[in-house]
Amino acid sequence: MVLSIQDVNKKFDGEWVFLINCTADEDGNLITGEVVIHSKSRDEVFREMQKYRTVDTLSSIRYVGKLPEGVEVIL
Amino acid sequence: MSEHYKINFDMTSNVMQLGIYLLDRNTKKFKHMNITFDTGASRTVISKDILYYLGYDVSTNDKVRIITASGVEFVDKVIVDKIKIGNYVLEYVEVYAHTFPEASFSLGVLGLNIISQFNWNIDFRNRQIAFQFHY
Repeated sequence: MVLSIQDVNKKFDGEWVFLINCTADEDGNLITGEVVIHSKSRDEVFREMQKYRTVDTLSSIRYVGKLPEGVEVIL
Repeated sequence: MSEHYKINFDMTSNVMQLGIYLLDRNTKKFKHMNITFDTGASRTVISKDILYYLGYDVSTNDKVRIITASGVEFVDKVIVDKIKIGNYVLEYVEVYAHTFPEASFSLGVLGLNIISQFNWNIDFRNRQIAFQFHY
């Protein structure tokens, strides 16, 4: 099911998501996409997305949500 | 005068995440991913798993030492055929392939080798970033 990126952010809060059939606006911002993989485990998403290697629609991978409480990131 | 571009960013994971596109060598199409805008990084670094997924050789003999917040690491240099930010396309961009810890919630960092090619105007209130190529 194709969802807006805002709906993806709400529905999959705290998960990694992989989307296909994405659309973007004229500036390249993602507008919609179809979530075909989602998991709290990034590595699980990496493994599963191999099935979609030859899919030639626009795809996207992202983490959705906030950091767990008490965690901050310094890269 | 070069064109202005404007893209959205989000503060997922409390860091500034931009959507960029990398050219997939398998399909010759762009793939989208979110990476962290990081003026503290001298180079752009992309997840090794993502580069492998996109058909790039991530086990080269061309390694370089990088110093991170947590220590010294050796990473592979990879030339990405095309990177698109907004609608601006950069060709043959050298990036470093690195395995980010899962808990970093990031798939890469956009570093100064790319950032410094543009002038940036960050609007935190509206979560928008405007930029213009300045070379």
